[in-house]
Amino acid sequence: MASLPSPTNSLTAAGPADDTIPSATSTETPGAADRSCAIDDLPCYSGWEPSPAPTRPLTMTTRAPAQLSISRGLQPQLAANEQLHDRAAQMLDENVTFTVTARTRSGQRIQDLRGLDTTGANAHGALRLSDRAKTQVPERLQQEGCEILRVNRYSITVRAPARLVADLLGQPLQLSALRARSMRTRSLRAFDEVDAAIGPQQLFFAPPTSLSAAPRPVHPLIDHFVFMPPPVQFAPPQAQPPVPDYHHLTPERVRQLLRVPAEATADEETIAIIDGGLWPEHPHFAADKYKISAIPVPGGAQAGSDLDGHGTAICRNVFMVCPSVQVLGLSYLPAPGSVGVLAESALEIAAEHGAGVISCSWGWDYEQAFPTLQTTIQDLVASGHIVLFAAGNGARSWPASMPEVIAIGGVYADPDGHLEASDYASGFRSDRYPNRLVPDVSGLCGQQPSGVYIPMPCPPGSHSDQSMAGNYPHGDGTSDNDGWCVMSGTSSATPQVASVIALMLARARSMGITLTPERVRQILHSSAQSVQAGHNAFGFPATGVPNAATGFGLVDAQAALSMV
Amino acid sequence: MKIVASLRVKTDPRVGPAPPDPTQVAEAASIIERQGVEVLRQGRRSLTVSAELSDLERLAGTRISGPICAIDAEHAAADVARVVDLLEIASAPKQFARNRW
Repeated sequence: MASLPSPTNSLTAAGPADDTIPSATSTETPGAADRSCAIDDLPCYSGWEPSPAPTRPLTMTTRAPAQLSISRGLQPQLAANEQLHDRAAQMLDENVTFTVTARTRSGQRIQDLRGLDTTGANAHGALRLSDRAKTQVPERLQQEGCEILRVNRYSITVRAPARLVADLLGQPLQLSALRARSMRTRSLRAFDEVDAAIGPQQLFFAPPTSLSAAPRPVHPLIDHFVFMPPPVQFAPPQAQPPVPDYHHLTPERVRQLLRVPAEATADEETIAIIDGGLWPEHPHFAADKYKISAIPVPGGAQAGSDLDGHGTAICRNVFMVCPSVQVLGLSYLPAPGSVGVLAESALEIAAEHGAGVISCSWGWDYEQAFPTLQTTIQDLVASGHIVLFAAGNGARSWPASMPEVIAIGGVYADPDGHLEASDYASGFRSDRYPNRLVPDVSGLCGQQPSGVYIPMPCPPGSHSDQSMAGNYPHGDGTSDNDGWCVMSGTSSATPQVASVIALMLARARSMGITLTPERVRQILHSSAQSVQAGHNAFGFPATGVPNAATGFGLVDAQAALSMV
Repeated sequence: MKIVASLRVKTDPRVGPAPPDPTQVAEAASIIERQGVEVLRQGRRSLTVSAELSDLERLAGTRISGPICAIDAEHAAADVARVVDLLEIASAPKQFARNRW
């Protein structure tokens, strides 16, 4: 293995060497975290030139090779992006997961076959780890302080502190980020040229000149340590929404229209969003420090994934009303390869996790009901949980029509703030439950043809992102993989009202009282802003109170809080 | 293709609408698992299971032709019919953002 140039020989220093900065020396105990070596003190390789006005000047030590460094292209981004900088600093003390290749049954090194057809080479499993490698290599790595995650057929997955890995490698580990666009070169030089804005999830550690490297002689059966950058799925989404040139709602406007008091908070309240999935890693949630996480459901799709994008998107409506509430996302979808719905499990698990409000922006048309799900919902409400369902967008939706749930319809606010029933939203008299009028109250919702109204984050290239792409008003005018879609429906109205209810619960908590679901419903009915214009998706006019278009009207947070 | 379904646990009509005792739910889960059907979760009133359609039909003792199927006590296994009374297979619901009917 060729030795790397020491940083002192190859760097263009940003300033004079600073002997007062402690360094990670080669005599340091492997695995011991050097907490005095901050991200700002790391050197760069490959003749990095400092950017014209770095906000955090770099300093370097000349006393010994550092174990960790930063790629050239990453440096300006760390200087300019505090969130990225903080994440990078965290990673210095975190573990690195990497792959160890070792002696195969045939003796051929698997890394040598990179890019070549290995079909013949792997005949009869010739490339599988030899039996000796499977036992001796993990044992030795554990002695060195590594954690063995799994002994696979062809490799060993290992985890260890970044500094320990660098020590085992006998060369520094470099913090880098994968370019979002296709690389002009396959060499690691591409990592020196990170030019697009990157997110914290794209950072990874690898040796400076190759994604794989032979370590120092830890064990004779070890071939390489291989480091895989996080895969690039789509162009990374921006943290902030697009600003369309047509009428749309901003968080400030939503709070204004729903009359949310500026001082109202709900720090200790939890809303569960049950939907097709949730991707809490969207940069928008992290950028604004929202409390959002995905909860697994047994037999369900992987927590934290959202192929459709709908669940991720509608969460923004919660935070537009109340940024301080906690959101838990649960999926009703089963794991790939199965069909069916896990709604009951998701609802019960949401309650077990302390969600006082459960928001559901889905349902079945023609009031198709499922007895066991119905009983589950009734149980939850009877035990004090507030369950909301969207009324539908032209569907006669169940469970929204259940008397126990709070059904949410849609009201549209034009650019001047005039309110009218949304012609995109459902409202109806139930055929299943006597005297049941849907909705109870309404949130904000766009108009036909497509309800393009509220910018919402979604996994880039997800179904939501793609299906809303197109020219306004049928589409949202954004690209199909930018991680943002502009839509609405009663799907977005429902979490808005859920967030208002969370504010009510917080107010009640501060007063030492408990609000029952029925009391919450009464307050919402009594406090809503009456809407007497427009008609709903079925043509029912917003006439009288309540009416089949908007129920008792648009939710009014200030009035509702005053009635707690 | 596995199907995720709900099996409603029978309750004693004498105790009204209250949910079954957790031990009843656990017993039902055990019986269902002995039938070779995977129980994903024991809920308050039901079991969430995952199985092939043929196994669900064997459990129910009848052909499943709709989303809601009563357990056929005559043709289902006796201990299954003793502990569960309804099988539900819900289709994926509609989401209410961009969909409209």
